[in-house]
Amino acid sequence: MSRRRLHRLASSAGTTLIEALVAAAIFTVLVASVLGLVERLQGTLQAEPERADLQQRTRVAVEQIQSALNEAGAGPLVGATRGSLGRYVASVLPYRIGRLRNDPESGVRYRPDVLSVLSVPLTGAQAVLRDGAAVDATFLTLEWPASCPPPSSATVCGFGPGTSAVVFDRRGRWDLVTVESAAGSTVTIDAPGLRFAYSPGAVVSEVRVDVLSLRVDAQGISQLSRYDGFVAEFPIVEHVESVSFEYFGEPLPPQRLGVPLDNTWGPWTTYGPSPPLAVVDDPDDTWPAGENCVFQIAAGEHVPRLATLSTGRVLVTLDPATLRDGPWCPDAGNPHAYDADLLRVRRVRATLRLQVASSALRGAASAFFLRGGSSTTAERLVPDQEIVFDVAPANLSFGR
Amino acid sequence: MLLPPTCRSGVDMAAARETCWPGFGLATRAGQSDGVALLTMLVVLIATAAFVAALVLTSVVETRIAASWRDGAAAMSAADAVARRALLDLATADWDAALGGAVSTFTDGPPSGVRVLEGAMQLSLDAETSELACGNPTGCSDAEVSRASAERPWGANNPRWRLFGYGPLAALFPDDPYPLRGYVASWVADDPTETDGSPSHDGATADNPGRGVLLVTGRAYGPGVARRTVQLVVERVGTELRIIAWRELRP
Repeated sequence: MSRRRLHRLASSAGTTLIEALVAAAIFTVLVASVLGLVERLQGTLQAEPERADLQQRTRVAVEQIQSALNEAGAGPLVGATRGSLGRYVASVLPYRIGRLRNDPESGVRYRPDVLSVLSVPLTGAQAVLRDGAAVDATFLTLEWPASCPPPSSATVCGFGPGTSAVVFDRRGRWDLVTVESAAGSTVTIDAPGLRFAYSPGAVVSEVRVDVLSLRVDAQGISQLSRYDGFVAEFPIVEHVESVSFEYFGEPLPPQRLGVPLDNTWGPWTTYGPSPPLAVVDDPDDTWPAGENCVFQIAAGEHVPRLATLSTGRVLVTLDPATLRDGPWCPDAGNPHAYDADLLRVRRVRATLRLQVASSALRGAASAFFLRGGSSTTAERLVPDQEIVFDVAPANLSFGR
Repeated sequence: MLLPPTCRSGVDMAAARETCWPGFGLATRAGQSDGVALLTMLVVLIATAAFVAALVLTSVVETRIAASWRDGAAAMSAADAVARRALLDLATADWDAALGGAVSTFTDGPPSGVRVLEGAMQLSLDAETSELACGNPTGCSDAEVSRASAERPWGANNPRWRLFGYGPLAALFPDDPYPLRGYVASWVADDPTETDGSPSHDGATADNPGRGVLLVTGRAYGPGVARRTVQLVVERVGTELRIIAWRELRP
């Protein structure tokens, strides 16, 4: 600093006041801009972890849906119907199934935002019925395969109190049951017992049920939840604002394979329940002799009852109407019947929309925000995330 | 600048400061203002650096999570691919030979020993086979393999896994223009519903429910630290193989 300037600084009191004012103004501007920067940084800092959380919740939701669908239709190792469960019963259903609030019991056969999936895990708890079982039966007499797991004090062949099981047969009937006890060759299941009657040879196996749907908790938070088909339902991911499922399926109707219908071992059809012999009438359904929900008799031969949706082999969209207009398995009069077109399902498209948890990071309701929030600054905006993905369950696609 | 003698070096500078440099005190105060600005700037810089560090940390963590998820999906496809690759050989192979230790045409050396994966990670094929057979990577006794557990509930009929195919994932797709990272392996075992009591032979008699049925496990190691396992149940129908069940095995 020059001596002259130092002298001026020392002697000019009036200038000091102006300089002080100018300095104060500059300081104010500086502080304001710094505070503005800090404010913006703070907004970004608040939004970024929420954005990451949104991404992570999306991954978890996708993983859950993929996991359930990847296993869809996996079947047992034992019995004449070993192999894909999806070959005999609809393993992907567009409504809620299970022991609690079962949709078909209230007449609901389609919900765009519900997906139910059935699969058999690789487990030792698999057997076949030794004796037939009637509707409402709570005792099952089983024939244990040689591959049974060693028995324990409470379990026989892997079946014990609380085992969740599926009973199904080649005619396409299926039931979800909970084992209450197992002793000798008898398994006791919980009330109300079986919904359908089964012949000897029907498979009884441990089962995995995934019912994925949206629900709103007491605080009004929308959640993707999983119900196990029996007693447990729990949230998987919160702030899932919408979920929907679309179905793509086999365009060709089921066909008979070369295996005679009176052969013990299947498969008897390309997919779908096997019909009775042409002259045999199944007493448990209302179809004429030789027919079932997917086959009818024409000129003494089994021909498909289901329509040809396309002449090619490319999967076709199964619109909601197709999935709830019948024909019904086992028949239309049965309150637990399912649409036979569900047997066509080979691919499922899921669409998920998630939002950030804090409303302070959401803007006004728009294409970006399904539910509006209070944010007005760009730094504090975390748009909803929508993801669309397809899953083709391997167990439903064998032979394609 | 010409200074009076009293202001030159050797004199008491503190006492002569105001005489020699009028306004020096004010200049010093101005210097103190510079210090405040420096301090202010330091505080601002530290705060900004903290914000930026937090954002970078969030981004890095998010990037890693995303990469891990992507690698998991890739590993899943790789595990499925190596299991299906095994079917190519099993379609024509003698299953008893495979259950006795014969290997597929997809190999990268003897069916044992250590392979070095990306990141210098080591993979012991023997340990992996043991881990699959009894849950113990250090080796399995017959009793351990036959012990019933949640993962292996069949007791004496528990699968005796045999390494069948193994090699770098890139070798599985030699024509792929993109270098595929990771290592894959497949194992075969007799179907647990077999009743012949011989885990190294496929059921020979028609009344054996496990006749013509085999389990195949495919596992992918990588990319990165991803590990995924799928298990197929395959059935031989005439001259062709049919997959009758597909499952992912989760740890």
